[in-house]
Amino acid sequence: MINWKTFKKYIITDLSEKQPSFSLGHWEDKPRDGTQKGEADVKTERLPQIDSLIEDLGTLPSNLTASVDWFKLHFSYPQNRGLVVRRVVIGHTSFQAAVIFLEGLVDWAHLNRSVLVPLMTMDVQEDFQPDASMLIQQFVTEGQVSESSQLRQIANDILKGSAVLLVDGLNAAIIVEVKGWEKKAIDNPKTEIVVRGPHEGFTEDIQTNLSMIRRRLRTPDLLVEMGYVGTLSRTEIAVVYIKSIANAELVENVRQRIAAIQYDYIGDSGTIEQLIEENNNSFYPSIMSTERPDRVSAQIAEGFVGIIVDNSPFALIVPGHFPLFLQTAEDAYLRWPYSTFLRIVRTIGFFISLYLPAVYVAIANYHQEMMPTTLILAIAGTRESVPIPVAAEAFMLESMFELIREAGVRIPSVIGPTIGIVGALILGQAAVQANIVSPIVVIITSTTALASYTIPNYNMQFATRILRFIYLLSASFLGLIGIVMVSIILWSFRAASNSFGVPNLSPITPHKPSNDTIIRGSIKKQKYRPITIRPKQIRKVSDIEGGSENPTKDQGGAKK
Amino acid sequence: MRIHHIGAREAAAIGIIFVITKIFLPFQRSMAEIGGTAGWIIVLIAVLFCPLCWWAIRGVIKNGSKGSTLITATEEILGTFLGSVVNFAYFGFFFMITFIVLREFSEILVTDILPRTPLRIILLTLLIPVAAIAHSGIETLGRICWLTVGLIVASVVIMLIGGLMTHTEPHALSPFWGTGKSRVLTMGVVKSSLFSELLVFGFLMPRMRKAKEWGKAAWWCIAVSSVILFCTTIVYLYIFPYPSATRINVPLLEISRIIILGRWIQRVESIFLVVWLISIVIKLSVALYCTAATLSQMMRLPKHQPLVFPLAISIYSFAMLPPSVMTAVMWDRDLLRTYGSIFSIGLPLMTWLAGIVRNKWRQL
Repeated sequence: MINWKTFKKYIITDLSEKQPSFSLGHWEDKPRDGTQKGEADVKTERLPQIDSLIEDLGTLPSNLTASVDWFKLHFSYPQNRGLVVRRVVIGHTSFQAAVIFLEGLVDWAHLNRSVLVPLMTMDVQEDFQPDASMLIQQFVTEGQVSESSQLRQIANDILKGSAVLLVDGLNAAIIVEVKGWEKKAIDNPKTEIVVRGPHEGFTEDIQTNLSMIRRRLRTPDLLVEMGYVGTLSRTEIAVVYIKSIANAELVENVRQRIAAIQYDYIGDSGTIEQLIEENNNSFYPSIMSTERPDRVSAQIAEGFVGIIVDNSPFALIVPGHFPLFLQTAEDAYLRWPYSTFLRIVRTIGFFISLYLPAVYVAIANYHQEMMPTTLILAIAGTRESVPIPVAAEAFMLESMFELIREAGVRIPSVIGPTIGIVGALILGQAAVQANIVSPIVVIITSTTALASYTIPNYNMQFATRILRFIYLLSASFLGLIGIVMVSIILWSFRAASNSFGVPNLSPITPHKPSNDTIIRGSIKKQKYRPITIRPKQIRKVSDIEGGSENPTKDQGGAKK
Repeated sequence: MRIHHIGAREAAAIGIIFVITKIFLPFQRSMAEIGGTAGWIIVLIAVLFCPLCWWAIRGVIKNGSKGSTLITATEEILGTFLGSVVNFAYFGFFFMITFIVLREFSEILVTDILPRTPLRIILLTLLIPVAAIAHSGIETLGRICWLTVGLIVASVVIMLIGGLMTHTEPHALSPFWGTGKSRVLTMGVVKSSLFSELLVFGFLMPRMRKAKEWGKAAWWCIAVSSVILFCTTIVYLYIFPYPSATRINVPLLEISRIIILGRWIQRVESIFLVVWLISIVIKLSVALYCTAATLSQMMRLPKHQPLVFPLAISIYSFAMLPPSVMTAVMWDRDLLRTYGSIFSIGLPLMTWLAGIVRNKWRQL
């Protein structure tokens, strides 16, 4: 009876007053610089830290043997072979010490140079008393070093790739960051290739990714808030924004949603996306994902908030309203006529990929009068020998194409070209020659496939792929009427939904003047940040020559 | 942001679509039947009277307490018993619009577009999205109306231009007074009910984010709707001569059928059908929303959603009442468009006056 909850509200009168969901700003206000709520007005929640994910394990004992035994027990040594305990003697004294770390996570050379050699060769007096601060200041001088007496933090730092120095008689551990695992080099983005613009994409390392953003936004206002999510994976997560631009309520909402995550394993930003979005039953994505640091930086500069997750080459941008999904990073680097043209092509591509097969089936089945006589005769001629109905034909070919697309992604690259040959032969030649499908349906399917690849966002491509089948089904039952009815329901749901407090179809509806939706205005007209996300500073440049005080007027909006 | 509220653009768009969708039904034909070649004068007179409806609604709401809708303000002014009677009349009016328009348009679809599909299937096909959108509430309605209003108005303009380019009667408007001066003038007053749908502003105004934009939304709605109703009537009379004009069941569909602009642009009614369907579904959604909102406010329910689906089922049942399409058209013409002004102008005006008297009485 899982579905009962879903349908209950339609059957049994529910008169409870639900709390309204989060909404950003006031849609009828004219935004002005500094009119948004400041940091002081917004209740601030911290991102979840590691303490919240690990239970308290107590403090470090001062006896070295007890400490080492505790760590061995904690990491299930010797059953778990990863833990390395290296016992050393400090200088020429009788003081015992141990360095604990996990194999494969540290850089041996770095560990030797910065910890082991200085420790073993240190020159100490007769009356040497171990002191953490003194050791950090005088001997462990290389790398990031800290001290802690909390066992949960020490254990977590070992898991993160640090080496822990324990000294007999000292009830604090010295934690030295000597991470040293293999990393992938910065490479071209795999799914967002551009002709004009930078050719570097995010990697799986969060610090590398953050450095790519910091390189592009050299302002002290760029804030990177770090936290941890996932009880097992303890994945690092960073919320990146410009504190003088991003709306404080939006940032707080992002923090709250991340803090509310209750999940064990976070493998990629895709998991975070599903856990923090408004409605994860929706076909359409409401959070933008990108593997381009320049795209993230550009959006952060506009007032959006970026979310970077460790081990993921995809960053998230919120709020993700609809027009964002048909834009690329390249649009900003091209002159406005070119980028506008490309956006129009993409928009047409989006609608073709959603509706073309369905419209063809509707016209061929129910509205033949729409087609000019010569065209319908030509189509009828090609369909004469095809034994199956047009809707079945379209379904079959679309399904075949989906098989080929999925196989193309999964197939080993060595035999990759085979898929093209098989696909072309099955879809193109053999099916037509066998009179299974008519040539026009092959053309329709190919055009739809091409159109779907014009959509720059991978998630949005998925939405069109699935919805295409739904429209196809509705067209085969009720023709254009079916398509319109299903469309109007789905578009209404889309119009009703929000992404982080911003209506998904804004600034189209509710209308807000903007020079950067489907038509991209000239760069000289891009004076204001998107009003829809209510940035703290609406102006991009502080002193605009001849710039109006009213962004709605300057961006072509109706005069208030 | 105040959620479940709309802006001036959205309110105007809801009003425009709610009023003008009748152009896709046999509206122009009934104007030609009543006024002959002077059918356009009837629309013109109705346009002159329609601001009365807006002023009366505004008057009622202003006489109620802050945040009142037409329904709550009426009850506040007239008292529980009389107020409920008047509100029930509003409920009946919206309910009737919904089921008659649903039946009329379903019949058009069955007759001209999907002749082999049973009427009940078409009724249900229309009712499901209608109920879903009405259930989503006024904010969704406003957004979807603003998204589509341009498309709807543009398609009407293109169709009228295409129709005029295909065929134009040079003496279409002769004789000037059509079926007779007195009849045309009288029917002009009666047919002020063409704008009865402006009653929707009684629900929209309190849901607008800025009270000072009430007038802007209403006047934009009145202006655009008036131009469209007037243009479609006069262009229809220009394209089809009077004898034909009184016999065509769905005038705009017929205009779209005769458009021939070269070998490739002809028989384009299915393209316009898409826009009409959108317009009709939105109109029915607004009507169903108003019906549910009226009833919920009368019953003092905090929200309208629980009433949407029961009302949708009732509307389906009532839509099956007219024995034929012509009966449904007659109900629309002889009931809705004849006595509609009583609901849209008469009752609000009476309530407004009662409110003024009540306030004066209290001041004494």
